[in-house]
Amino acid sequence: MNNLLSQLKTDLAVATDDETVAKCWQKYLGKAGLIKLELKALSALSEVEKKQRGPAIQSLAREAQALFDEKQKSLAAVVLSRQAAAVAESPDRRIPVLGHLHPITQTIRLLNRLFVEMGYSIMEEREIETDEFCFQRLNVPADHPARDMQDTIYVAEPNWLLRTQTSSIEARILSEFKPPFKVVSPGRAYRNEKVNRSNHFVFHQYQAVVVMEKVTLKDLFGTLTHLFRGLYGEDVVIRFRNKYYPEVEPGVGPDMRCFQCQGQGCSLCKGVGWLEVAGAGMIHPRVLEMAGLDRQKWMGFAFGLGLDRLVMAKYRISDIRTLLGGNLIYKPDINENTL
Amino acid sequence: MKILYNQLKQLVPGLTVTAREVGEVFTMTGLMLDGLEEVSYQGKKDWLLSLEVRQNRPDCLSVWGLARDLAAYYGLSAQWPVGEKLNPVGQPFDIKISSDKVKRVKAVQLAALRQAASPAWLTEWLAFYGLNSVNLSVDLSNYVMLLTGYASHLIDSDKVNGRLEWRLNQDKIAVATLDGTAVALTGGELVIADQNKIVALAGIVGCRGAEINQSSTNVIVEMALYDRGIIRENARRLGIVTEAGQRLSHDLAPNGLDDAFAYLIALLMEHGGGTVISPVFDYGEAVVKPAVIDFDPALVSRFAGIAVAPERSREILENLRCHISEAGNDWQVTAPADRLDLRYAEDLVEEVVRFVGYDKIPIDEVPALAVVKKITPVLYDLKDHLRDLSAARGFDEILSQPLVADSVNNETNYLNWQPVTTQNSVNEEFPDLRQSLVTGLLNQWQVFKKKNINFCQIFEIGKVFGRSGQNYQEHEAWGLLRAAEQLSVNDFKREIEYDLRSLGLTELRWRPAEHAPLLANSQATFELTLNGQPAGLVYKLKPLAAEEVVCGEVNLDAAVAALERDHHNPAVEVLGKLVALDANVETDNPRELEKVLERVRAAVPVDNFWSVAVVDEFALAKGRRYTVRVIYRDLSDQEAKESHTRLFKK
Repeated sequence: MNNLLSQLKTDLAVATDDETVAKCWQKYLGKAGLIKLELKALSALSEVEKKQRGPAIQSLAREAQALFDEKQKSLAAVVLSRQAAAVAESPDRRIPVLGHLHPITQTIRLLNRLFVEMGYSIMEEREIETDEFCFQRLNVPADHPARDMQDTIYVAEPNWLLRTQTSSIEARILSEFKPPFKVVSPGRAYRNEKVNRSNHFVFHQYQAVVVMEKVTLKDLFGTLTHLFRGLYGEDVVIRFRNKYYPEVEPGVGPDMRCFQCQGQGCSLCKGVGWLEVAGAGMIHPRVLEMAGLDRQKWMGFAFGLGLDRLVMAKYRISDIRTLLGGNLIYKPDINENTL
Repeated sequence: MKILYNQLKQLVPGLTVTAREVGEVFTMTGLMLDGLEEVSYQGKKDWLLSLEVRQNRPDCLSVWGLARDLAAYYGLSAQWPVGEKLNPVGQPFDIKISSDKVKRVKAVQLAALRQAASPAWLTEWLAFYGLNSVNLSVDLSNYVMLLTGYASHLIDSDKVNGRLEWRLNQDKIAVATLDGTAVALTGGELVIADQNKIVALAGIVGCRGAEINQSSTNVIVEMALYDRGIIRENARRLGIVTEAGQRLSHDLAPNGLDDAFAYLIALLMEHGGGTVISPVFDYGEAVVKPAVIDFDPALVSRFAGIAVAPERSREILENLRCHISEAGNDWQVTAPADRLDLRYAEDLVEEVVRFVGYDKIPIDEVPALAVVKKITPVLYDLKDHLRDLSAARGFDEILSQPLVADSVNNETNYLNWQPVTTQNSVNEEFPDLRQSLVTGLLNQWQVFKKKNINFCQIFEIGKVFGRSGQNYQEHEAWGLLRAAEQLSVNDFKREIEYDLRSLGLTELRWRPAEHAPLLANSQATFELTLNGQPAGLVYKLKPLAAEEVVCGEVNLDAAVAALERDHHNPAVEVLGKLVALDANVETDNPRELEKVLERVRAAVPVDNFWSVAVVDEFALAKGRRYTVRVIYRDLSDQEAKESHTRLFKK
């Protein structure tokens, strides 16, 4: 009898699901179960023998049933717990699919956050621009060789064009707002370039212009370092070198140590170990004068950086046309309803 | 611009740093190194540095210019050979300048010049610059151009008929350049011509007809400077890129031309053995008065944000060959005549700071600039909100390129404006700027279909463009597209409406559109109005495929204008009560119903108006009957009835 109980306990201990427990129950308490057979065998015994063995067998049967009940309760608890976990992990199908923002938008937002925290405003301006604001007010007169850098798409030559740079926003802001101001301007620019994997006639820039009574190259460098650390992380290595741009003086070429070769020189950085990442400088006195600002009182800095290559590197996009051409598809998030 | 390291060392005695260090100095001071190649020249190991010369430093499009700048950085002296001044001999030859686009010309006639093969040192040197050897005279001309930055042109004087003249071409004529390329002139090009033919496109390239060859012995040597604009314009228009044109499309100092010219003549005579047989023709101002700049040395620190001692500024400017005279606290700085880029005090600041070193300026401090007024326009924030709302509703954002075919604009435009056509689009099939964002959305949908993505919800926020007469217009728009097997345009309208209302736009109505785009189902096209002004459109496309497509576009500039007009304040004090009265309007034209609603809004005084709405409609044999409910505020029942009767009397 004790052996039977011990054997039952062993069987139940290894049972991990309802089906095994049910089989086990049949084995011991079913019609032809070991304990049932013991109970049935009582009828063949004498009354004395029944009184001697009967209570023990019936006790065994009750104890066995209690063990089964307990086992089923514990299994039910496990199932409930698993179900709860499954519910917690599974998506709520009542929540609609969320849409996505374009990588360019996300990058602009990241930059905007950095600059809004520093008290900058955000401005945009017209894309069909005049020659005056796109070139002349930025110290690039009609015969200036710097125009060779920017093949222009004209709407009505020579006065109306699609802006070739977001610096035109700088010229507009300088002429329309009274300083002091700190402004960033995300926007599109256009150049008459052949479209291929690396170049597009439409591209995105991020421009900044600050005009105050006192602002220095040190402020500019600190701002750009903050920007690049926000974009690429605290470990990014930045250097600033002298570089000419017509609308600034002194001009600045900010470079980032090549992330591919860590400055050793590779095909990406053309062997020099650095990547040009922006154009910057102190606003040229002529630009201030043309905006009607007293250059003895006001000074400022400006910078601009291209966003497309930055986004391509971050999102591993190999073809610049993807950004505007339709091959950019958003993969559903793991928790999104895919019904 | 390329330069050999050993040549730099010859020109700058005392230069002891390595080629790589030279490259780094050039890079940090404004002439970026974009190539450093180990080479062999004249059997000796050397380094070829390739430097990016920006537009402000045409003086550095020359070996001498680069040597001068490097010498100034290290406080060394640069040395280069010069030719002797030529004494007047013989008879002047017939030459005339007939264009004010010519700023300076020096020319002389040589005789008995030998056209021997160029020496190896010359051909090998020119090869570093990608120039093939032509003959001794031409090679020396190219050599002096690369050395000094001043381009020259050689003309076989035996092939010149009559007077040599610099003039603007008046004719449509074809000429062949020295390499045989046919170039069609259309008029207005600056040329050098004799009585019969054009012998050169001035400042760009020579032409066949008076070119130097192996038998040329009598040669006119000319070196000139021009208005940079005409050289740039001619070169671009004719599609000719040359080393000479590249240099002469910048402002070069005229006084440097004398040394370059004398050196070229000296080299020609040294290697070709000719003799000068004419006086030197000398046209134009030989010297441009150097700029004298009032300069406060404290300006350097003010711009840099670090302390720079006046003594250090003085040292740098004097190394750069500036002359400084002191007048009180300020200096008067006379720039060297060859540095035409130095005009402002800020230019001098840059010269000092680039030699002090940008790397001396701290970069780790986020500046604590003064707090200034926020000037971000409402439109920007509104666009950002709409992006979030659209994404929350399950729309994916796209960005599309704005140049489209004119046929596409024809199909999608719904506004009363003309397309803006570019004059030189990158692709002649796509000359127009988009008039609607739906063009890009439809393109994206087509791409999705090709990729077996059948359910499509996309949006774009961007500019659309149009023209009214010569007035170019553009405004920000919010475009949406949904494609699926079954769609409801009313659901789509409602979603757009919810989003706009959440931005604070309350005076928002839909009405059947009078003008539907060509690709729209006109029966399912609705115009959005904000404060009664048209502000967008929602429509279902004519059946295109198995899917249904609905599109919407909202003029966000109009939305901002409505927001600024609509000083909506939902909290009002109602002292009386609200009285609701109905009226029936029968019409077969939904726009008539809209007019009735507008009439009610306009007629009831603001203080007594609560709302007006269509609460029921019923189909008649002809047209429909609409039940319009007007709710009056702060009027008695009698006053409300009188007002209602006036409004709806037959």
